[in-house]
Amino acid sequence: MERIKIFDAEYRFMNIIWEHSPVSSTELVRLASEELGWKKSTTYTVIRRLCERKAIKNENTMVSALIKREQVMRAETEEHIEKVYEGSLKLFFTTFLKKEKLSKDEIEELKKIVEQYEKEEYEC
Amino acid sequence: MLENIFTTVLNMSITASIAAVLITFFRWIFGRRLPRIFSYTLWAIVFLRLFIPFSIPSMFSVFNLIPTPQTSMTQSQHYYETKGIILYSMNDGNTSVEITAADALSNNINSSLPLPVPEASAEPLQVLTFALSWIWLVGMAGLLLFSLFAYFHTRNKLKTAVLYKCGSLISQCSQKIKLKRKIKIFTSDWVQTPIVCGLIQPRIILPVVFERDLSESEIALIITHELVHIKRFDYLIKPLSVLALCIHWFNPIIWMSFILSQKDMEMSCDEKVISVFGHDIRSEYATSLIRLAVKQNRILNCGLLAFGESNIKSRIKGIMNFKKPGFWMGAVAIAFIIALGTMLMTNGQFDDPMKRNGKNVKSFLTVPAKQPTGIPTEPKNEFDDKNNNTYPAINGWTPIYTKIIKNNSAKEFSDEVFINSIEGWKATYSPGATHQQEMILYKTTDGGENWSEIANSNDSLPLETKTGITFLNSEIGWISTVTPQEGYIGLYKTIDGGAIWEYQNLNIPHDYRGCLFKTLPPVFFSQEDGVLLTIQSDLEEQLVFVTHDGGNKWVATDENTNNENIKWSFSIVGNGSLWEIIYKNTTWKSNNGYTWSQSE
Repeated sequence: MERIKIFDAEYRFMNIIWEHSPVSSTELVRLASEELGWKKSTTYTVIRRLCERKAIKNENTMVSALIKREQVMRAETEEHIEKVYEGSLKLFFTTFLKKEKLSKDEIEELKKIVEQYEKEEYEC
Repeated sequence: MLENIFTTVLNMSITASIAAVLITFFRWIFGRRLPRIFSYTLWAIVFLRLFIPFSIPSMFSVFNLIPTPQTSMTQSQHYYETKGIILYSMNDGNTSVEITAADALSNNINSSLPLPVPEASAEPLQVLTFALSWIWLVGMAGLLLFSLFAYFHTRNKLKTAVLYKCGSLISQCSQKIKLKRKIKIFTSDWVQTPIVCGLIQPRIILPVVFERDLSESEIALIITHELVHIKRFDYLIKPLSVLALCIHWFNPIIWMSFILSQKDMEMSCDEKVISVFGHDIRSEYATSLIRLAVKQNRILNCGLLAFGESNIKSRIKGIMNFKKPGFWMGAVAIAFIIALGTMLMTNGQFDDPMKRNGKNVKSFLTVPAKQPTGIPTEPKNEFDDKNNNTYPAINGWTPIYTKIIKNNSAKEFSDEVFINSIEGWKATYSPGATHQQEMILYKTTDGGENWSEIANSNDSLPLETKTGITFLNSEIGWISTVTPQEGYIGLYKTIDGGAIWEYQNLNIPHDYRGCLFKTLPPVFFSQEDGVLLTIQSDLEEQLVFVTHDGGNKWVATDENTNNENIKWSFSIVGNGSLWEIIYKNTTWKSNNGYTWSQSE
């Protein structure tokens, strides 16, 4: 069984399709707006993207699922994010924008700080 | 043009830096003891300083404390003083504008920068200014493009964020901080940290994992934090701060300010959350921050424009340390902020170094910032070349704010002209043979403190009776004369700052070739447009020339005809004469032809 990678937002959209399939695209727009808070254009973009990946089909504005729930592999987006901010741009801004990467020691230290303050409070 | 903008930016950068350094100092002293909202408020000063090229002058300004230099030299820099607001405008063309504007604001900083040397060629400096301006522009464009790219890229990705249904959680949180706007919350797997996205209709976007990993009470704290950002319009302030950073990218102090202000922004938000939820939630709040920090160690920053969480360590300490300030502590802090704000937001009252220049103060303080609009009547303008001493002493401005001073006392008989607060010329006269007048020309580059001789009548200076001198910029100037010779316009020009003078030949219309003229120094309305007034002995019809190329070519123009934006008229009013020139819809009046005031 072929498995298709899908992102979180697409998965939730697929949920609607599985529930209502086959469903007209107009109805889908309404449901997506209600359930997911999406704009019309966003819904159409996602329909197109899922069609390209052969997860759904769109025939005469009737949308139906081509894959089953079990076939879906919810993808991790991390690799994509890394890609976008890679290279020189990343280097340029790393110094002041990067998230503080906390080491285990530092996390322990922070936890201790919190505990210590709590203790002091009780003693007071 | 570009150089002018660059100089203005440099100016703002320097004043903002001074403010930033003082605020950092304040932060360092009081930071721990006071809620962060105080230091966050103070950053607004730097923020405004970075965007607004001028501000209100005040005697309380910290910029009054900056001493005036004695040696700096500006070239063709004009100080426009209007309604107490001082703007600095540089001429383009043959001038060097580099840094000179900065000296008007803080001269001691200026001394660390290369100063233009008067006698040296302006060329290398001009090239440097030009190059720096372009480097600045390219850097700014690059940063702006990157920010925009990152912003739109992120926004695009977040379009598919999914509505987060949390029941009444959001309205509960909004109520707690008294936020009336309806804000929607979304979740997305494209973010690792909660962010606020959107400029018009901001929405909160949470990482998808929150739904699974965090308890509702933890989410409530995080949402409230973001709602505080929205309530305070931080989602607009941050992009604007990034814009300021892009403009002032060359200034490391501004980068430091950006980082510190972001930290204060986050920490003051934390404080707000704690104060609405109560002291007891501090450890829970701190713990969720730590948990978040463990998950998010990646560089997704939504291209600068969204909210990340930063400085976990100091935030944790800040949260655990937070105590509501006592009433007096708060009151003292507010008073302090107002005082600091007044000091830093206003410009020095005596920003014009000429006015601050101790020894010269007498002659300048008498001049009102704005010229009176009414024209005082003066004695009838005599045409008497034998007795020049009957001219009244004059002290005033030309339309391009060149300062004209005519001293006429038993002690001193001289003309002074200043093209800016520090650069000026002085001509002293002493009688010579009949219809002749010896002259010595001096120059100053320190507002009149020191004068050095640059020419005398043994050089190329005219011997005729002088009626005045004027300078258009550092190089180009005129001496006007009067002599009993028919059809003669006495006009001498220099193009090297006053060392060498040459007679400037004008094309006199045929009808006027039998007349006697008294020539007055040219009057300019811009670096290009100006008029040359002459007074005929019979006072019936005046001959006036107009230039549009900075005084190279003069064209005789009839009264009340429009010559490319310049229209002149002459009339006798009561006892005196009145010149009226309309330049680009502005009417300038003068009763002596030397100093001008703008008519309402």
